[in-house]
Order: sequence, then C-alpha cells, then structure tokens
Amino acid sequence: MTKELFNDRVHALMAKVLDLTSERHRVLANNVANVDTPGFQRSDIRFDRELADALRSRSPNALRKLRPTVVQSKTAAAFRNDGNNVDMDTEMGEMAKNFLLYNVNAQLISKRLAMLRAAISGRP
Amino acid sequence: MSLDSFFSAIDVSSTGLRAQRMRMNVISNNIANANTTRGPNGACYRRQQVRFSTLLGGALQGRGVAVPSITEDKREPKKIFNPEHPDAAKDGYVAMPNVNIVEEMVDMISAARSYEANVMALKTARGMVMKALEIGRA
Repeated sequence: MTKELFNDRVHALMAKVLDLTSERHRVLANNVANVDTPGFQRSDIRFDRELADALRSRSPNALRKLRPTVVQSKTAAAFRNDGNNVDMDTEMGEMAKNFLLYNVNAQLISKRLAMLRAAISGRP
Repeated sequence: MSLDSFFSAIDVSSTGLRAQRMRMNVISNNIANANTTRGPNGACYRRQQVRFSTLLGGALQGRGVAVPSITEDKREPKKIFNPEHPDAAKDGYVAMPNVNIVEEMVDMISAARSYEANVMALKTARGMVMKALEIGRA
C-alpha cells in the first residue's frame, strides 16, 4: 500500500521534471559562462516531447529511463563575428522560465505531501 | 543525482566568474601600465589579453569556461617624439605601450556585464536548491 502511495506516476513525473530542469539549468549556466568564448556554440536540453512520449507509453519504466539529450545549435548569430551564438537575453529568459518550472514542481510535490499529511492526521 | 547536478551548475557559473574576474584584472593591469616605457625586459609594456576556452566534461557536456593563457598584443608600440625622455632612443622617439584606453574601457564594461550574468545564473541555481529544501516542509 505504501508503495503505491509514493511510487505513483504523478510523483515520478514531478520528480523527473525536477531532475530535468536542474540539468537544463546547468547547460544554460554553461552558455552564460561561455558568452565570451570565441567559436562557442550554445547548447540546450529539450525534454517536452520525450516527456510526452514517456507519459503516452504508459510503461512504468519509461519515465525512469528517460535521459535528457543535449543538443547544440549551429545557427550563427547575425550580430557577432567571433563564431559564438550565445544571446544573453535569450539565455536569461530561458533560465527564468526553467527556474519557474522547477519552483512550480517543487511546490506541487510539497502540496501533494501536505495532502497526504492531512489524510494521515485527519486534521485539515 | 539531482543534487550533484545542482552543485555542478554552481561550479559552472563560478568558472565564468573566475574567468571574467581574471579578464578584469588583465584590463586593470593594461590601464595601469598605459604609460610604462620600461618593463622588466627593458622594452616598453605591451598590452595583454585573455584567451577564453570551453571546459568540456564527458560527451560534449560543457563544464564552464577556462582561461588557458594570457597573450601579448602583437601590435607595434606607438612612437612618440620626446628627446628629453630617459627612455628615448637615439633618434629622439620613445616607444609607448600599445594600450588604447578607449578599447580597455569598452572591454571592461563587457567584462562587468558578463560577470553580472554569471552572478545571476548562480543566484538562480541557489534559489532552486533552496526551493528543493522546502519540499515536504509543513
């Protein structure tokens, strides 16, 4: 019974999103750190499609097996001639969105645990 | 796994901070020596510049930025006619450093902005860790 309580799909999904967003933050921080490195190409992690596929497959291990893939973008920036395509505004925007997604998930996990606690204690 | 990933994000940002601070130190050194006509090797000072390169972990995973070397600017020193100068050559010309103050100032602004961006990324990573610590707290 307790196994189902904590190992359900919703919980696994939220934990996975925490993992993926924290990994994505590392990649975005690397882009920012290399904003002045000549020839550096920005990379990013996309996981929305993989996540949707894993959810659709309904296999319990699909979520656990999901590994983020780092993709490098090869497009050249029009306004720079050092071969670097990092745009600081884009990075900061993506970082803010990623941060919010992380916070939303952490909050959801907290609320879910609070609901469990309420059910256990019987007090609202 | 998650916590490790967090700390590595903070490590990545701190390599950026270190690189930009080193760049700032080199710029300060260039400005301080803008009029130095005699260095330890007897010649006039030459402008220095940092070189940035990517730090790679395994499988193309970036681990931040490094400063592998500080190189000298190859441009020729400026010749200024001043026969009274103690370091003047026989023809009366003094070799002045190839430091351009305007160039250094622009570089300094760029370094300061990049430093701020790295601070922002680090603060975000810290915010995420703090949020994670709140999970399960009543």
